[in-house]
Parts: sequence; structure tokens; C-alpha cells
Amino acid sequence: MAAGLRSPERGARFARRYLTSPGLRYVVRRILLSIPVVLGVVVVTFLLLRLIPGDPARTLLGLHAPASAVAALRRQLGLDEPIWRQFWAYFYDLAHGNLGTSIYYQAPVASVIAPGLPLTGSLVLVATFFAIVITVPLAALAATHQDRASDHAVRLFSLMGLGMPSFWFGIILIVLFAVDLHWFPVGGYGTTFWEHLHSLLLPGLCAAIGIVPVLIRSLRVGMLDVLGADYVATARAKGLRSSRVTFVHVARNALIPTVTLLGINIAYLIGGTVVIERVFALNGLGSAMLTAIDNRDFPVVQGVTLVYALGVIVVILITDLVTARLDPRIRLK
Amino acid sequence: MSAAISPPVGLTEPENEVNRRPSFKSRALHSPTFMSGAILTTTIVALALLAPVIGRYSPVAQDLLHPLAGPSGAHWLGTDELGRDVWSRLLYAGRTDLQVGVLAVLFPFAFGVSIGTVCGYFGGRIDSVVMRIVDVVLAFPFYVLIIALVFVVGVGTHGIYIAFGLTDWVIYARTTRSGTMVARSLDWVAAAEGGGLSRMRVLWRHILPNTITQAVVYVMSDIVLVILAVVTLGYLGLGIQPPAPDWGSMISDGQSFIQTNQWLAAIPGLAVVLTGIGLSLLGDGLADVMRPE
Amino acid sequence: MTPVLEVEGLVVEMRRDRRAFHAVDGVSFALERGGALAIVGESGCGKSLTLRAIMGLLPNRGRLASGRVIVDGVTLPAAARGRGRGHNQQRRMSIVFQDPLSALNPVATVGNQIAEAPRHVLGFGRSASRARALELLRLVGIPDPERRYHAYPHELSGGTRQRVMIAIALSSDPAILLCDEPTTSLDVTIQTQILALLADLRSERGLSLIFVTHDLGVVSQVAERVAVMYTGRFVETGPTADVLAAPRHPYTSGLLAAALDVDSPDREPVAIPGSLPDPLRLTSGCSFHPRCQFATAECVTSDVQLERVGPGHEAACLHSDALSAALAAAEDV
Repeated sequence: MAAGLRSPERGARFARRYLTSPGLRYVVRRILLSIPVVLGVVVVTFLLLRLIPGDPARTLLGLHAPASAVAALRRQLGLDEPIWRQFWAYFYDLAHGNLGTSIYYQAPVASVIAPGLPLTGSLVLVATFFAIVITVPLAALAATHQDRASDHAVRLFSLMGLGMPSFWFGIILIVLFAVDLHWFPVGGYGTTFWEHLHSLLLPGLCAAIGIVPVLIRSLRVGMLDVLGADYVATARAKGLRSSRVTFVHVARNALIPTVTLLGINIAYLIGGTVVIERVFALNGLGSAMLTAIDNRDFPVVQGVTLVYALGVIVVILITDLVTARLDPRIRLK
Repeated sequence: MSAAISPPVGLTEPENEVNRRPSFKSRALHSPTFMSGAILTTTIVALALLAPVIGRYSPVAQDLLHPLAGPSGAHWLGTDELGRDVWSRLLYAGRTDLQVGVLAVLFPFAFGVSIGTVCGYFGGRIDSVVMRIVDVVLAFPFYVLIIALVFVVGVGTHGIYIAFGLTDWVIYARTTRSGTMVARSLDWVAAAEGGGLSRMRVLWRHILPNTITQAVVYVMSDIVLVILAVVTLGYLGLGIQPPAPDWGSMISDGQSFIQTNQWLAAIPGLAVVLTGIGLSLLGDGLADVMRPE
Repeated sequence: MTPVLEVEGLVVEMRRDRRAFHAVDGVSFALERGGALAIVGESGCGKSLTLRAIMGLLPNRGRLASGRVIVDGVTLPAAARGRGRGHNQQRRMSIVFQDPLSALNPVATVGNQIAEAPRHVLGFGRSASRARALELLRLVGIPDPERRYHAYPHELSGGTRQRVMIAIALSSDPAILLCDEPTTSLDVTIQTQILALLADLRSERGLSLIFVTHDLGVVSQVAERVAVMYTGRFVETGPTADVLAAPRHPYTSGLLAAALDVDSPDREPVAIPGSLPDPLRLTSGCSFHPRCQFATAECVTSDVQLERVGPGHEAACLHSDALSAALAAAEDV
């Protein structure tokens, strides 16, 4: 078969598989499915302030605030309008990138939050990296040595981690590595790229520990499923080298639950960074939120919550699309 | 052929066990996971409940003449920066945290299982609406939502209960729903329905006992999750308010003295870890014991 | 002529709930070149494990406690039996599993899966193994092989998937085909086609066949020798026609009575009283005696072995003559 004859045939196959139905249809459908969730998130953040019966402005300012301040705040937050008009205003502003105005700083919320975004984003990336690098080898070790010593060791390790507060672990890490050994900074972010990375290592590890135990337990089960599957027996029956069986048949299939599990747990990981930022004195989104809480600055709290939720939606969308790419069975649904 | 068709794993027919299995009690007693979890958890709970008896001081009694003292005969774990006995505070904090942890999951469990069963059994518009709500709640990172809610509703225990009540039910709803949907499609359930049993009766007597075991197992890990969240909120100052002791605020207080007295911050954390291990072992053991062959 | 496959005293130990039991308890047989043996029994009697033990594909919870497997006169070394697939003699055997959906790798195209053994085990080049795969697709009766090459397992029908499984089994050029209930999950018309395909492969390529099934109706279409299995042992072996017409073990006659017979549509099937014993709690003596109408005190105490009851026909029953008499009497009525 001449090489030239292969390419157009392959090109046609590529086009058929990825550019027309069902691949592209799935991507579009999946994106469209996110829209109701985005709307729901917007509604929830809007309703946050209205959860308690009574005047939201008074709630924010406290029982002892003077009536004039309360009235001023009501005007600023537009609380005098009928509720549907308030929602429309909120939605309209959001659609134009306006997250409201910070009460404390009297500046756009977006400008208060934006500086922290790159830090939090990088922290999440570093944490995800650590989560994968720790979980996958351990889960694989436990699954391939089921019921033997290494399996029990891994399960014990993940058991201990299940109840461990990540911020407490962070404090321990700081004491050990920053205070006693001086290998890492005690806190802060640094100025250069390498300083940024260096200062994110301990926090990233900490945030990862928040989900690693759960991830190991789930992935171990997923891998056991793959290892025990009949198609692995079929592969071995062919007489293939065990390295090929492991990498082509087992790993390729075990990748699917790994990505899926990561998607499910990433929301928890992201949430965990809020307290990690305080432990390590990092000025990201989380610490903006906590500062806003101290300042009773509701619009910032609302804005940060919304940004976090949107981030999670995007990440889950990406993992779903990656899973669909890996698993041909999904595209058909 | 006489070979019986066995129900899928996770669901058993009520009266058809070919081989007599050892009773629940016997299985439980023989499961090392269950037993170690039960022993550890009971010990911790007992210590917490007996705090007034075993703790030798009031958790709020200050002794400003002896702050940050090391362990001694008078103070088994030493004192904190205000001279309060660490051991007593540890016990009382455990009492509070455990109590809040358990109480906070009650409503999510009850509500989540109920609504999940309704959705899984009846389907239709209720199902779509509720599942949309679940998706939206799950889109928020757990801690972000909890913190925001506590900010709005107010800090302290009532804020914690409301925050978890609003958010924690979704997992129960989801898993119960899928369990119910699987059960509904089984032959013997259809037989019960066709036999004239009212839908409520089918739900209550046949479907629920099977799906609820999964929820009960999850309760254990949920309590761990809730305790972790309570402790985290305490660390941030948004949880149980002083002067009531709480493991989280103890860690936060101890952090200021990390250079000199490392154990002040370490010990409450260890308490949380041990509680987490005990409850997780118990949950795992329960799952093992309740799993049908 | 040396038999192409000989199995001597195969014992497979399985672990369950921390206890061990013999799921296969001393199975021996010989398969002639080009011959076919059917192994019949209910679910749980150990017939699938027998095949897996011969192929070296036992699951994690099992191990080969003792026994020998001899292929073409060469005994497989201990390491290769039970687990491990490297040995040359082992590659003379292939296996076809019951559920092709779980036995095929979900993330690889069927063509690549068929081409895998030629390419990575037999040493063919890329285009040669592809050509071989197409050839095998045609051989097993799959139309339009060039298109089907690029299909994923979940895109094919059950019957086609099973043909693909057979093609994979043939791809390593075996002399012996072990079939583990290959037609159980298929409907009757497809079943007939698959059985016809297997018959063709036997006559055209001289393949030897072991066919495991719980369906007595299939046995006479497939194999000229049959072995009836109960709780891990053969209780009756012999020429298919003899065993089905004149069974010499009460379990065999019980199975026949319990089966629907197209030739006597008015006869009600009769269930065997009692149920399968728990393998962890087997009684002494003959394991069938709790359910047998011919049982006497001797059946409980003595260790009943397979005894010759006719030409090439063996049964493990102390009362096989009484059984024959009873059956003859029933027929006269």
C-alpha cells in the first residue's frame, strides 16, 4: 500500500470523526448544557444577600449602624427597586463585565479582585500537578498489588489524610520546611517568576493533600476495575509483553476514570485554596474574599464567589471534553 | 436450568438467601476495619462526652500567671497563651465540634435521601428541576459557598447549620436518586408493584432499605467533611465563636506561637486527624459489612 | 498420536472472605488433535476457571494449587501455568470469552486489536499485520472489512463483536481454541451462525476445541465428547451421543430432565431438588448426595471417583447401574 494512498483516506477519516457529527455535535451540546448552570450560579449569587429575612443593608452594617448609613447603602446597592429589576440590573452588569462596586474601597469589584486572579490560578495549577503526581503512582501501586503489603500501606496513608485539615498540614509544613530548614519562604509570593513558583510549592502541596486521599481511594477502585476487566485478560492471552499490556491496554483505559475523578474533585481543591492562601499569606482571590468578609464588603464577596463558580464550571467543561476525547463510547450518547 | 439469576451487587431480594450468611453482628465483630473504627470513634466520643469529668479545669478559666506552660502534673498538655488548660480545652472543643458535626448532617441526610428517592422514582419535571439545582450547588467550591453563606447568615453554630443545610444535601440526593432508579428497573420491584402494592409501600419497604445503606455509609465520611469544615471556619474566625473552645480556633491561636511552642497548634490538629481516622474506618467497615456477597 | 492438550489433576484454589476453597478440584482430560470437548455445568461449577487456569489467566483471587498442563507433549513450566503468558506452547492456545463487550478494549478499534498479536507477538510489519487483520475479518464472516476495521467495539452488534473476538483468538495462529460460553449472550439465530463458524474452522484448519457452556442443547451441535462438571469436578465424561441418550450420573440425568426438549414439547421440565452447595461448606463424600434420589449411606462416606461405565464413558457414581435401570423403566412406561 503506497504511502500516498493512505493520506487522503486518513484525512477523510479524521474529518469524519472530529469535524462533523458526532464529535463536534458533542462539544457544542456540552457547552450548551453549561449555560443553565451558569445562569443558576448567577441567580444564586444574586440571592445570597436576600437569604435572611429583613433588610439586607442593615444585615451588612449591623444592628447599631445609623439609619442614614443604612439608607445610603440601600441606595448604593439599588435595594429600593423591585426585585426583578434588581436582578436584571445585576445580570446586565455582569454581561458587560461589571461585577459591582466595592463598598469598602469604593472601586469596581473587578479591580479589587483582578490582581489576585493569576496567583490563585497558578496555585490551582500547582496543586493539581501535585495531586496527579502523588495520586496516580500510589493508586496504581495499590491496585496492582491488591491485598498485599503495599496496598495496605497506601490505604492507611490515604486514611490518615482523610481527616487532616489542610491548613493544619500547612502550618506543620511551614514549621518544618520554612522555619526550621529555611528551604521555603514562610509566606508571600515573591516578585520574579521563579520566586512565584518557589513560594507556591508548599501551598500547592497543601491544597493537593485536601483531595489526594479521596482521589487515591477512588482511583484505586477504578484501576482495579480496569485490571480485572476481561479485555486485559484478552490482551494477556495474545501473548503480549506485560509492559505493552500495562501501557496500552490498562493505562489508556485507567486514564478515563482518572480524568473524570479529577474533574469531580477539582471544585473541592479550588475551595481549599481559600484557607491555604491565609495560612501562607498569599494575596489571591481567597484572601480578597476573606478580607472582604472582615470589611463587611458584600459586593466583593459576591463577586469572588461568582468568579470561583465560573472557574469551576469551565474546568469541569474541559475535563468532560477531555474525557470524551479519550473515551469513544461517550461521543455516541 | 436451575441456576438462579442473582440481583446486581448492591441490592438483595428480601427473602431469598440461598446460603445463610453470618449475621450482621457477627460480620461486624469480625471485620478489623469496623472494629478498629468503632473502638477509636467510641473512645473519642467518650472522652468528649466525659469532658466535664476528665477535664480538670474549665475551658475558659484563665491563669495569666502561667501562660504557655509546658506539660506538667497540673496541666497534662500545658497551658495556652491565656493560661487555659490545653487538655480541658481540647476535650470541650471536641465536644462542641463533634456535636455540631453530627447535628449538621441530620437535615442534609433526611432531606437529600427523601428528595433523591422522589426524583429517582417519579422522574419527570421534579427530577429535572432538582437535578439542575444540584448541578448549580455543585458548581460552587464547597468552602467558598460555606464561607459566603456564613458571612451572610451570621457566624457561629446557627450559621453553620444553615450553611450545611443548604449545601450538603446534594450528594445524598444524587446517590439516592441513582440507587432508586436502578432499583425501580429491577424485575422483583416491578413484580411488587404489579402485585398491587401501593407505590408508597413499595418505596418504603423495598426500595428505601436498599438505597439507604449507601447513604448511611456516606454519612460517616460526610461527618468527617463537616467537622473539617467546622474546624476550618473556626480557624478563620467564622465558625464557633470564642470563648467557646473549638479545635480550629485553638490552631489559629497557637499559630502565633509557632516558633516557641509548636505543640499548641499541633495538638488540636492531631485530634481532628484521629477523629477523621476513626470515623473513616467506621464508615469503611460499615460498607464492608453491609455489602451483600 | 499424542493428544494436542492434556490436563492432569488441575486444582484451582480461590480465596473468598479470607478463606480458601478448591473451585476446581482435580480435573483431568485429554483433547485429541482436531477434536472437540464440551464442558457442561451450571454457573459456579468451575468450568470457566478451568479454562482460565489452562490459559494462565486466573484472577487475582485464585491460584493454581496443583496439576499439569501439557501442550503437544510439552509440559508447561510452573511459572507459566496459573499466571503468565510468555511460554511458546501457551501461544498455541487462544481463548474466546463470553461477553465480547467487556472482552474487547473499548478505546481501540477492532482492526487494531486483531492486528495487535501479529504485529507485536508474531513479528509482522505494520501493513502485513493490517492485511492479516482484514483477512481474519473476512474469515469470520464480517462484511465490509475495510470499514469495520476502524469501528470501535461498542459500535458493533453482539454477533459481530463475538466474531471479532474469534478473529482475535485466531490472530495468534493457535492450534487450540478455548471457548468460554461464547454464545450465551447472543440470540439463537446468531448463536447458530457462530457455531457454524466454529465448525468450519475445525474442519478447514484442524483447530481443536474446548467449548464450555451451561446449555445442554448446544453440546450435541458442537462437540463429539462431553464432560459434565459439578462443584469443581467432572462427574461424567464420554461421547456426547452416549451421555445425552443414556446418562450414568444422576446429576446429568437431572440436567437433561430440567432442560426443555424441542422433540418432546409436552414434557414438563423437572427441576433438580435443592440448590448448589456453598463451596466453602462442602459435605464429605459425593458432593451431589444431598440432592440425589439414589443416595445411600455409602455415598456420604466414600470418596467417589470416575469409573468406567462404557466405551470411553466414565461416571463418578456408586449407583450408575441403578440409574440406568430406572431410566430404562421410565421409558417403557
